[in-house]
Amino acid sequence: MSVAVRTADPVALSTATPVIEARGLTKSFGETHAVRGVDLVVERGHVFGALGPNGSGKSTTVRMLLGLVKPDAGDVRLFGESLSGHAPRLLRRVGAVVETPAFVPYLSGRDNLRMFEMYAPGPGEAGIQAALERVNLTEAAHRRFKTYSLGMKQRLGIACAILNNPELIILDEPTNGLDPQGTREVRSLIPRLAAEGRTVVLCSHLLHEVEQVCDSVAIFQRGEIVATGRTKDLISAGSQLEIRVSDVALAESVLAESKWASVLSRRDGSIFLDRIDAEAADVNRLLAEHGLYASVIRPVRHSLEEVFFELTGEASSNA
Amino acid sequence: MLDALRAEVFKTTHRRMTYILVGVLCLLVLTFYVILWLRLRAGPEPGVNGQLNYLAQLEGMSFREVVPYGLQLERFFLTLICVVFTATMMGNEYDWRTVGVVVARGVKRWHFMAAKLIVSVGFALVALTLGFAVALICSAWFSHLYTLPFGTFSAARFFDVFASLGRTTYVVLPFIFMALLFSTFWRSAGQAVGFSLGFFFLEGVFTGLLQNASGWLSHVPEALLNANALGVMKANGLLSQTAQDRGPFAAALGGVPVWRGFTILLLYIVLFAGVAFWRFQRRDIQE
Repeated sequence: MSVAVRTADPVALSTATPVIEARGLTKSFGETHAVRGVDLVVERGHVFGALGPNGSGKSTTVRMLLGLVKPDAGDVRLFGESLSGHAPRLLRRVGAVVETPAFVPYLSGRDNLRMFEMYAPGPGEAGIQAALERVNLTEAAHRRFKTYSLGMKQRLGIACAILNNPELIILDEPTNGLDPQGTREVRSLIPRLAAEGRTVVLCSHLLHEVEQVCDSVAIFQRGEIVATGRTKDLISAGSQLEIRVSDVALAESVLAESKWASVLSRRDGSIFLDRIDAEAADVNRLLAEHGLYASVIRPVRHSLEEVFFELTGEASSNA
Repeated sequence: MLDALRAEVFKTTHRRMTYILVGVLCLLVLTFYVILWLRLRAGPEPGVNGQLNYLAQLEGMSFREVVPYGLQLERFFLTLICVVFTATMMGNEYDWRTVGVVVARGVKRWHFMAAKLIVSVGFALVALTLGFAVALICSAWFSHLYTLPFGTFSAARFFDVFASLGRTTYVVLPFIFMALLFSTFWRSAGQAVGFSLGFFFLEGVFTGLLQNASGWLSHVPEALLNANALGVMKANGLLSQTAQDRGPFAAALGGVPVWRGFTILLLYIVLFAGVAFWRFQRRDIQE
């Protein structure tokens, strides 16, 4: 498979003021270059996926977006305003769970939400109850946080993130530790949050999760974004048209003279044309004009997983 | 700022350790008074000095001397529990990784830290007052038991009690700020408690050693925390001449004037607070 995805110009995705706009973010920890020149634009109302293996720079980027880590270079703008100097005011409009949810262990789930609500006053008891109901944690709300399972901690983290009715929600590995039912609930919750007009940033190393819920995505690799754009565009960029004919050499020479010459490849007795599966009829007509009749002509669609591994150069067995 | 303060008070009042530490302080004060009582029951040691020491100890346990004696006794224990309280309050935020959650919610870093300091000082005042109440009860009981003087009950004495409580809290402040600094520096409750208490005890050891040295070395303790704290504590109450020269704290009451002790402790407070706030404000939160 040959996937030739180019880093899309994120600005071109929207003309409206982006919710997140990061330019040239760079961060090193000693000799380790955690993030290198990351440009990121997230549009309002989108579910944006930050995809990448562990140590690829996703979490450090998120921490820079949340003002927890100061970038060595670059700038972060939230809701059109620079984060530096305005962080407390801008971050009141953001809800986040960074890596595993962190709470005070001796407080109950409800008291933890009360405590965080005191730091940044919002909807009060009614809002706390609503957030607990939304993540299906009402019955365990009186129990101490330290007695929670990992899945319950994740759900409390999400409840805390949505507590103050934020415009932007950043969830870092939100399904980590959840059982299949909990995972399904969270995945169904994310599009609902977006449907309410919120922007959601989902950091995950689970490719199918990002593919399922995100409408745009950035793929991180070794501190850099290797590709970004709409999820469907990235997937279609990896799609091909497979053609089988009796005289492969002749068909190849015909196509090499056509407008598809640049996306032509030959493998295992078949001819592949990258990213033109919508033009199957035109290809078929051209071949027929030269007396070549295809026994098979079909689109081969790839998953985000295949695109990811093609871009990052990693073996899928590592996933 | 008030929001952060409310949240800190909520956390502190819901924390079992808060009540355990106050309980430990009260128990230690009570235990110390009981030990002194048991010692007095054994009678004076032979000789004139033994008799004078016995009288000084007896007077120190009286209700009249509860302010200088009880607060001096309490200062040591209060410093220990305040160091543990402050270091764990800040250090645990790193251990539990809640510091990142708070900052990511738009809470100003200096609000977060200032709220912790205010609660720590408030805790010191409350713990000191409760411990002092135990000392009051013990000394009143011993005064009744041995027919010791209760002293006068005037407005001036009441004022002196409050001023003495303020002074005792003040001399504990550098240690509270130091615990905050160490917890910010090490980002761990355990290490912050260890370093703060280590500093507290080692300083006492070095002070003892250096006081026996000659020349400029013997003056080094005057620039450290404990000697200046004791200098400030000298202003607490109207300690009788007998009790000042003898008794369990006679050797500890050094020659540092009150004003100098106050000033040097203030410098330490400003230094520790400045570095702690600067460090917390600038440092990345990665946990």
